[in-house]
Amino acid sequence: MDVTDLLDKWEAEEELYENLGSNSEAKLKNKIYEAGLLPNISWRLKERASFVKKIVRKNYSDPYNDVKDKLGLRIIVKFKSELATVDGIIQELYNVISFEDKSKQIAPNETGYRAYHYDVTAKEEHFDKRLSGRLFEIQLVTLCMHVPAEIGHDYAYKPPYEIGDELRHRLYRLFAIFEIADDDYENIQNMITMDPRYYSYNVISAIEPYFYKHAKCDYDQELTQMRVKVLTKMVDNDPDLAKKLRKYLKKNESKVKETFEQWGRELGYLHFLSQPEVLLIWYLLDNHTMKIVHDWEETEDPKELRDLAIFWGRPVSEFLNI
Amino acid sequence: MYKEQIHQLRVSNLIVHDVPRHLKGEDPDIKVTYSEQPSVLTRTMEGFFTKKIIEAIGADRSIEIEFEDENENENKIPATIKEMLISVNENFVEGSKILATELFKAQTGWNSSGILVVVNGKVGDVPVVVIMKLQRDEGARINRTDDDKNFDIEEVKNLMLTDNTKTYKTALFYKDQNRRNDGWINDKQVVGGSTLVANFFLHYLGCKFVQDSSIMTRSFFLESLNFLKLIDDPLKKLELYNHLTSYTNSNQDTISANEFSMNYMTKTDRDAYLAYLEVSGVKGGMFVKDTTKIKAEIRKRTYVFDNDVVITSLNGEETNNVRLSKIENSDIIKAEVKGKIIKIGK
Repeated sequence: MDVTDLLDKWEAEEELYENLGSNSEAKLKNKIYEAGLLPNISWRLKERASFVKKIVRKNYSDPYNDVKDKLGLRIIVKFKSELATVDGIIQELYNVISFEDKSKQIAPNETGYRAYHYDVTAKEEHFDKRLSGRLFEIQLVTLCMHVPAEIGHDYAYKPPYEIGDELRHRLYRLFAIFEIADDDYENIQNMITMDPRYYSYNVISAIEPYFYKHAKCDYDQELTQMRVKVLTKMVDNDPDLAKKLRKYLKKNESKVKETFEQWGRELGYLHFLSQPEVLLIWYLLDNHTMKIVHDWEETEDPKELRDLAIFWGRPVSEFLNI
Repeated sequence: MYKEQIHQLRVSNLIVHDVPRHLKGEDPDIKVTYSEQPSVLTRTMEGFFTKKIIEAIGADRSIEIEFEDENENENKIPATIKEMLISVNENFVEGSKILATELFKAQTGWNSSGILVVVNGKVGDVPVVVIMKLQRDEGARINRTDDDKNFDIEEVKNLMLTDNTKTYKTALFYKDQNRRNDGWINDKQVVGGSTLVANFFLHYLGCKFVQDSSIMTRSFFLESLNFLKLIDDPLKKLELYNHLTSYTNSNQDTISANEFSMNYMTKTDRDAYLAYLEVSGVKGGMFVKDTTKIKAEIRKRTYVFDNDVVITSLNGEETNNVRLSKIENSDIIKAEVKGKIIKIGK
């Protein structure tokens, strides 16, 4: 097959790979939210010029099929501990044809590019028949793996020319810094979670996974922090609140799911249901009804509480001054 | 189905009939204006009515009801509702028309005209029928003029429900094998007993309350008393005790722990009180009051002092006969009794 034929074939199949990319993004996003994490996914189709260059450079025996990254998808997580969760999701949705942990290629006394690379095909039970069976690449990285790879990729990983020892050393020094940061950010997060002084943070950490799982959207963090400070005062900053919230949300998870399914669709209600503090408000409605009814009216519009209570099936309209 | 599941309500169909006011024997041309098919609901309107029903039926003041014994009752409503719950959409329009016709027949000149809204849907997997009697309202609306310089004010008639309207007559019925009741009613005019006008909506539906009001009232009163015993501050305890007996003895026909706590307790005490009652099996929601089983407790008040002095008042409301006050900077209560001594001894 000559290059023109290969390009024609690629042009004919491009739309299918585009569908595969957008479908994969949607399904992965959904699954990652369900795991209580915030998804960060991007993908791209191989550009035609790049496709041709790769075929010419690599001199493949089966050029069309040997180009495995006609579609490349990248998933970025915050912390290393989240890699295993997303790995599980990839294994669930795709047939993993080959897997490579790039960090295993780095000698103990060296540093460099780290990532999980997967060559996959979509499983028939999760994807349309026309999309399954098509090989493409997924890269799974943490944010601290992604940044140096993204910036330093052209110099360190695929240098167009020899950059010299001094510059190379400085580049790899940066790789090392990001590798340390990758571990330390997570350690700091764990320490904060256990420290009672970071009260609002711990309360938000308790509700966030459930919010991501059922609301399936990101939120305004500054607004949440402000509101959580006000709401937790209603229970006199109960030191066990985060623990109680986890227990409460575990017990009422199906109700949370049903409520988001029922009301999350409505555009007018998106404001309330697009912030995780709604879970804290429902907890207070169930466990400290009169307190939240009384204190809410001092600072907020009672109609907001009225509606949130109705969505939750715990109306308090008769106690509000509306 | 439990009231706590009401958040799962999904509205399927909604139909409206106009039930005019009339005096019996009046103009025979005054009739019900029927709809022959369900109204077309936008998703926004569907959400709006769902919210209104949840607000009414999920409220503290909504009370469990069951159908009266069919053998004693010639009312067509229970059979109609049961049929609508079984056949779901098939019998919806005709069933709703029967409900409207029966409402018209049952009404007297005392009853206001209204719009009967009948809804069917599901709470989870459980089929439900909702009946709402609404009243027409009028309002004013603003419209920007064509030249964009002013607002015109336009009269709006035939309003039946707004975001701020509280629905005062709403009943939900459901079909469930394991049911303990037939549904719930939220009716502002509910009273104990069977006063025809005040309980009109309940009787029109062919229903009665499930709960034994006298037992519920007694449980509420006694468990509230038990909570008050846990309060350390003697004057606070006393004040709340007086409020409790006044509240229970008042002219109100329905009472609730939620309302009592809201009216008389500090916010610090409210939730502790409600949690205590919940554990003792007394829910916070509204119920019909019946003081038959606690008449003596409400009237009689006894104050026992640590120096073995006991003061008993047999007329609980007569607080002027026993005046209590706290001595400053101590937890000692001074009691002043005014009256003539008519007996000394046991």
